[in-house]
Amino acid sequence: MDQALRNKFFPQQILYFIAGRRCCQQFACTFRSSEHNILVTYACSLGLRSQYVVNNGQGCVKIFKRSCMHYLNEPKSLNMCRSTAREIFTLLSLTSNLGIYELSADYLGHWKVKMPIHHMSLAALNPPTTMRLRTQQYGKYLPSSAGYSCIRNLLESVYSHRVIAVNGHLAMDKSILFPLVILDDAQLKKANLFIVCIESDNIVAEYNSERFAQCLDESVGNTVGIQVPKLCNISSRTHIVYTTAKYFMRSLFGKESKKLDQISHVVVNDIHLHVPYTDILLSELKQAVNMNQNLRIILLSQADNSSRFLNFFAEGFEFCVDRPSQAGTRISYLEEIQSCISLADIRKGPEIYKKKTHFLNKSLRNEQTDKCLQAYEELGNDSAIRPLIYAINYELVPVNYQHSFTGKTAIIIASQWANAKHIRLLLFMGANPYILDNNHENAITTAFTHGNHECIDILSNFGLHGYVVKNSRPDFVDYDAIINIMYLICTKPNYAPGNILVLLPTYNHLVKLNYMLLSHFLTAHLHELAIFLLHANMDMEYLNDLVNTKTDTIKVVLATDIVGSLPLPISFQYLIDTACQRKTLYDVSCNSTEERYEWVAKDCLMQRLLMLDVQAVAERQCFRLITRNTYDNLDVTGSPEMQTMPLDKICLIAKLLSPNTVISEYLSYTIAPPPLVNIHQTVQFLKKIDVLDDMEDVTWLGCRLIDVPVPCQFGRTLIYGILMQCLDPILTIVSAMSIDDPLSIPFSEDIDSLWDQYTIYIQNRIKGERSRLASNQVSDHLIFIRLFEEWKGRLKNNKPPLYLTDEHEFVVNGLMEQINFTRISIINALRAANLIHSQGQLSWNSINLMSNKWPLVKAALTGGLYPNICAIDYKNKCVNSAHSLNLHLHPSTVLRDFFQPLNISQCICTQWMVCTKEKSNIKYATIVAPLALAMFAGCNKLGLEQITEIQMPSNETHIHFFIDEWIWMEVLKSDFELLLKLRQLFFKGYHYLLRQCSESDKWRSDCNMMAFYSLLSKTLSIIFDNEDATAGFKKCSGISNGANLKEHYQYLRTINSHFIWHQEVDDKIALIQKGDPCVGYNSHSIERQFFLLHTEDKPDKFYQISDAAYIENVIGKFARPIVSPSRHIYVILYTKNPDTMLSISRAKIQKGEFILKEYFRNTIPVYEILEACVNLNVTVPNFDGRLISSLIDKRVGNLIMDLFAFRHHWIHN
Amino acid sequence: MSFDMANAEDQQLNNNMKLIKSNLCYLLDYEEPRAARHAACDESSAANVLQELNLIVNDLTLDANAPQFEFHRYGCPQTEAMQKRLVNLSNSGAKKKSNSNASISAENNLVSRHIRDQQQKENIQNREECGSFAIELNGDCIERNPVLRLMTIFKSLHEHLNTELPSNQLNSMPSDYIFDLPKKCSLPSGCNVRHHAQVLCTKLERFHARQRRILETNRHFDYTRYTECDELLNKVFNDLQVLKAFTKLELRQRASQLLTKVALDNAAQLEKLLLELLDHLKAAHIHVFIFNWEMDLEYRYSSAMKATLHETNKRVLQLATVELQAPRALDSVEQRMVEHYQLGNVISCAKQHEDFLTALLESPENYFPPEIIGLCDPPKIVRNLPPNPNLNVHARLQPLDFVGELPPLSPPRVNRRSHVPRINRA
Amino acid sequence: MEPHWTNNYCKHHVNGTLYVITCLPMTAVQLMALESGAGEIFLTRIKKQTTPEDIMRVAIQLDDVYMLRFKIDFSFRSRGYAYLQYVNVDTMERALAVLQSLFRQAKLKIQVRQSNNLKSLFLKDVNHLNPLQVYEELRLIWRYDKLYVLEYKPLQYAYIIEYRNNYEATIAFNVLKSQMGIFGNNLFVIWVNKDEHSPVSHPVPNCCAVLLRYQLNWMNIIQPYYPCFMF
Repeated sequence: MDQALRNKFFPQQILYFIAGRRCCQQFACTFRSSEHNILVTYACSLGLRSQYVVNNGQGCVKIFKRSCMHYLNEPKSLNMCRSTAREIFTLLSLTSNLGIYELSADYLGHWKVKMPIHHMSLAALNPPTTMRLRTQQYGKYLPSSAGYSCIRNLLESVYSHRVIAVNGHLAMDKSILFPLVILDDAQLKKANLFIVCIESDNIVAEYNSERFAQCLDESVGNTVGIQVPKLCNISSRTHIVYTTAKYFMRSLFGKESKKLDQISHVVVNDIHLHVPYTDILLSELKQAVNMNQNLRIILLSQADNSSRFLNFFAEGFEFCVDRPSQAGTRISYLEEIQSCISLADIRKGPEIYKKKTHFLNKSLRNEQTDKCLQAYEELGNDSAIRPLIYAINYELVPVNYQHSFTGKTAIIIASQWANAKHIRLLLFMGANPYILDNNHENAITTAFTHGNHECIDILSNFGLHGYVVKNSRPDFVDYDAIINIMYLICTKPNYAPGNILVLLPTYNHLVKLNYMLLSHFLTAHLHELAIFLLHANMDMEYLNDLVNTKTDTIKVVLATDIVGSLPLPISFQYLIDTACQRKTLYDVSCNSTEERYEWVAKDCLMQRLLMLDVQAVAERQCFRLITRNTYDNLDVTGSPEMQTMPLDKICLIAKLLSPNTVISEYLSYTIAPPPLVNIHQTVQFLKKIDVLDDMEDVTWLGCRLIDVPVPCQFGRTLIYGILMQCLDPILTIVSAMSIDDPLSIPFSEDIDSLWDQYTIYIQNRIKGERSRLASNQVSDHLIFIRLFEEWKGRLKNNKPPLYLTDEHEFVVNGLMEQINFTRISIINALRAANLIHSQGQLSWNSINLMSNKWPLVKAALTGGLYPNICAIDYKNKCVNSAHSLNLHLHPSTVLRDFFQPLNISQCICTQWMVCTKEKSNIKYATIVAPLALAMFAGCNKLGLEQITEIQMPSNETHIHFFIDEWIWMEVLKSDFELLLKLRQLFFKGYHYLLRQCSESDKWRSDCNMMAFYSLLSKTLSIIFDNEDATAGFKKCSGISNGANLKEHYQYLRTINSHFIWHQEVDDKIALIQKGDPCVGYNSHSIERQFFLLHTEDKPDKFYQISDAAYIENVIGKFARPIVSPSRHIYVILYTKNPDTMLSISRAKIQKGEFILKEYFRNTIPVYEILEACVNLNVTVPNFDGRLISSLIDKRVGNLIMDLFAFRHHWIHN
Repeated sequence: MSFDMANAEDQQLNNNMKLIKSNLCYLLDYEEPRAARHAACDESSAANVLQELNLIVNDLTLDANAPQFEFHRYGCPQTEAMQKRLVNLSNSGAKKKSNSNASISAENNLVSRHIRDQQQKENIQNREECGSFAIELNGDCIERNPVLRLMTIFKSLHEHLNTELPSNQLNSMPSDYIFDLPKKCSLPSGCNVRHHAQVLCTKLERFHARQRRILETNRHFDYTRYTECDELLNKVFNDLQVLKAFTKLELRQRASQLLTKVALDNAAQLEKLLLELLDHLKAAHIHVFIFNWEMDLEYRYSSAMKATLHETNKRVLQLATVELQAPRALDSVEQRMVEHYQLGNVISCAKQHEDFLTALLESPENYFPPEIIGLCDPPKIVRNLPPNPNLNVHARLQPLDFVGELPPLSPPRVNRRSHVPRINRA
Repeated sequence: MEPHWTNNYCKHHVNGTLYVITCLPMTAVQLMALESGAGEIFLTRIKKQTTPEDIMRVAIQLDDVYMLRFKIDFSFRSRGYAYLQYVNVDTMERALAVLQSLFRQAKLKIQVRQSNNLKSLFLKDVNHLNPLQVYEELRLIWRYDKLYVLEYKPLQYAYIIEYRNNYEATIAFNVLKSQMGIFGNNLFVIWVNKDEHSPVSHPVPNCCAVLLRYQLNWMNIIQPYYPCFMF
């Protein structure tokens, strides 16, 4: 028998393995050690690597191919320092007396998980009683609506069909109209009525419920109610409730079959968007329709084809409302837009920064890129260009990088070598062949001198294509183009004044464009308009601001997709549509997510077009920042989100809705079933992070996470934060990771044309800033905390300052507003999930006792982000992970420098890191102590069976500890026992928290368990401090102890209204009073005067101490005679020693007094101003500072203003 | 009070509290003559506030609903009357505040006191009953609890009963599956030993029957091998019979501690039995499996199947030689770049991505969208293109006679966007 | 709910509170008194599983209930306390005497107390706003009845804000605590007991000038110097 094993069976198995697609394979645990030896020897002879591992308590052999990254050569050692061991020992002995340390069910078996029920407190189904008077609003609503004519038809179809699908455009306001019609009818007939209106987003539900209540002349909470996570207002008189699919389904958990008994109608709005939760709700509704004969379902869509939905329900009636004709709308595509702009002769501000200035110092990165170019120039073959291509592709070097001395770009060199293949590739990659080197040659002329036909052909063909084609890509928003269009609309007479809607893919884009517009407005290059923002994560105030503005104000609305669900009472005349969207994609192969920009589908563009007001405005124009050709090739409808997105929350919700169905089966019956492999992978992942158990049932963790609005992995991290009493920093990290990184390193294309040539410099500066924030702790996650803390420190009276400094400041403020918003909503959700209490051991203060202990925060991150763990291979300078794909460090992480595979100072002697990755890139990583991994990684029931004795006799005291399928460590036996006990103790706390957190009386500070709890986190904090110190980390200071900032900042809203709105009102009133003819749109005739004001103080102090009287005294006597509504006075603050300009503000007369409204604040050295003057041929002024104030030349004044407005954070600071 | 959490809101409030207290105390203690008090009135800001009121009175919408406003300047009897109460108020507030504060910021103290108390108690206890230490730390990583030991063995038995021995189906899975396939889990929860034994018996019976069936189908091929396997299976069967007895024996436990001496003895017996069973099980499983596998190969495979297998094996052996090769070394050009240009770091980075870079160089068509690929081909319809200021210049340049002609006079607007199939692009 | 009384009451659910409010018509004077918290009773030690219906069933035995404010958590279970008001303010006395035993008979171990009805807040250390700005800012937060400004040191003010009732004061208190930015970082807020400050004792001190609102609105310049004033 052994013969057969040795000679036939194992060889054959290994051959199968090599032929197969797997990178590694584990052999069954049934084989015994003698058989293991045979296997290993044979595998070795074929060049395979092998390892003895313990998995699930069973020893077995694994073999690896050369390429497999699961392979950890040797166990990483875990050395506990003595003081750590002592601490653990003390803790164990203390807790043993508390009676906590007893093996119990949570270690061995399962607890019956009971989902905390959440239900809408609905009244009994009854007819609406009070007969409402038809108020003016109400009366106005019905007849005027576009759908009025078909109300009869509609009612008939509601009575005759159980499911109806309605197609109609946004302006029809279907989700108010239809419930209203039904309510009206039910009142007449005294029929039972309870309508649930499902909206796609919280803000939409809130907005619609308010408008509906208004229309009934009531307040929300009477006939119309609302129920979304942060707002709940319904009463027994309520007959219509607005909610979201996600929240509504939350109330369906745990109800077996009578899920929708209390409801007569369900109105689902915006089904065409295929919001994942709505899609799942549809399949619940489908089941409900079968059970409940009287349930009526009304599906509202803005797209044309609802038949798909009716097919899904296998019954129903389609009800179509004609779209208004778009005859008067002009649609221009990118080509036309570009030619319009180039023909229009737009006058923007002067290009002050035209000339290369001296502060471009050379960095190591320049040197290395120069050498790459040099090498390519000398060698010229594929191998020589490869490092260059690598640098462009992976290290963010701009493709048009010019050699520091010769000024040659890669494509010039490729032309020199006459290498057509390289030229083509470089052109594809966006190289510009027109760049001149220092000998005034460019790629084309070089190609001609070398006379290679193929190269010349390629280059000339390239030249024949317009630049438009090369420009349009969904992942860039062309801000310059948008600004140009704004100039067109605002300054050219053939564009009538009207409201402008700009559609952008993300919040980040809104913020950036907001700054650009503001700076153009304030410098008066562009006429001032009122700016409003709309996005999904906003407070109602943003929306109210917009809705409540006077109709005669011209508005610019910057919005994300959300505007497509909000029927706004504003008529837009212009639409600037970037036509792109951001999608979060799930990558099955490495179980990671990826953000990708894509063009939106044609029908979506069509719906966006319908936002232009047909009735009110005669001539409408839509600018699509997409080429005609690309548009023609677009899909008609987009793919439903559920098919590509990460499914963790979806799987969880599916399981909770239907506990007895397999998740993949449940999801395969939804209207847009996601790919099976995605589901499978996600379920496996959820099992791994203990959200589902082995039987695919929801665990306690899963129950708690369903209420937390972040992905499961982040939710788990928050739980670890609570357990280790350091929630605040974890909260900041989690919030920041769900928003764009404010310090991501830009690609050359992301940088404005103005700063294009400084790309490398800017990138280096940002990289430098990142490593400053990470301060020797080799952690990207720390950057978020630091950034947030520093921003908090900069606030004055907890408010961001209301002046502009530069774009980066503005964007950071904007993003922090969003982070803060996310933080608050997570805190609220944690409260709702009973994970934060108002008092006792789970109060905010006690779960933040350890918030300033960075080592503990790292440990919490490790536990929370497991299994995203990598091991660093210092020898080969690479990382290993449980993912067989090649993982690489993104150049932005602080773990490496540009052009260096790995750069961690060797004094840090730990080899593990916890990371957040995107595809196969590690974006954020933190080096962690091995003990953290040993404590928190792996299944939470690991026990003694996961170890094995080391074979070598010299090593009797050590054992190998296998944490999961690839992490293993070598530990001292006695240490391991301590570790295991501590682990069990910790997970005891973990289970206790998850199971008992809703019982607030179990968390009073006097409970036995509580003493244990604080003891545990205190000990953990000490031991991780110890471990970090031994591993060579420096002490990390500057993390605050979690002062709770609960304020919603609304920075953008405040600053926009501060600058635009009031001012315009004031001016207009003033102008009207004077009877000035140039009131209104064309106010470019405004003249500006600049005063220079000398001060010794800092601007802060200056503005604080200078009251109206002082300003009157200093400026008044000069300015009063010349100020008029069409002439503005600006005051520039400057100081000697050093010679700098500090701030620029506008002086306004308010109630007969001069007041200063600060526009920009920065520091601009005077020499820079002088230099700019020389460049632009402006007479050089003389700032001598002898006088306190002086009038300066208008051109110089404008120039200084521009210098303030277009200052670049990374270049000038 | 610790000041290291100066940022905490409560700390702040507390500081404020102290301040107001000192202020108010100061006010109370400061018994100054009435006249001086009146002088103080002049310092009062009433005039300022009034002035302010004058300024904004129009902005204030003072309808009937507006809240009332009462201003009492410094030194006003009303203010004085209020001060005593204020002090009281602040005191009571302070008490309340500091209470809650103490529970938060002095938590550490509390805890450490708690620890101290505990330790003291501990020490006394330890001295009394020397040796009987509650936590079991032996330093040898061996489980002392018989119930837990049993559980571990039960678990591994289940594990063995569930394992599939390797077959080529497993290999057809792509290697990128990170996690294992969903596995059947039949281990009962809880620590009831008899119940565990019961479940195991049922599973074993099925397992035994399955193996028996496989064995019987191969009986006629090789009788010696058959008897060998038969013996092993019988051993398993015997163990199973013994195990059945344990489902009725005394094995009660509470909180994973066996309750009686009898139970302890029985558990020891059971443990021995299970370990033996595990060995027998393994042996039987492997032998039956291999026997069957070999017979498959020899008798049941068609000649065509055998031929393909042979073929694949040969091919795979060739493939395997690749595995034996050392990782690719630097070629001469790269070597030169490393040495001559000190580009060691860059080269080693690029080496990690060599496959991608080579593929990109060889066939860029796979990595770019068609409209970008089209850029280097002559445009299809020139007329439809937007006006390009350089069109004419290029048209002139096209014929080859113009070699050495001047470069285009003004390059078109810089197009800043590149089309790199970037790996790092978010 | 049983039909015989549910028809007379309407149930509202707003965020963390369930309201059971009477549908009886009421005079404006009555409403005002009730809204300012007259006759409010505090119910505590309510078990999690107790519903507002359980309480109402007992409470209506005494008299018509004006409103029950029943505090709930996110899973709609009791947070342990509630507020009860009868239409007839005088019922309170009787209720305090008997309600607890009535509850006990109904197997509900609920404690009945008179509500403190705290509705004043004490504010201090608002550094960068002058009293009138504070007056305005507070109006933006929530409506209130009266603001006392006390200049306890030259140019340093303490404020006492009176709200209509405890409920509104609670909201204002929470907003103040969470939006400290408006009033500066050093803001100090606490609750004040009604009897701890009652300047009402001597209605208008002699040094105080009463400015009339309707006058304020058209009178542009206020007379140069009042030591104290109110409007």
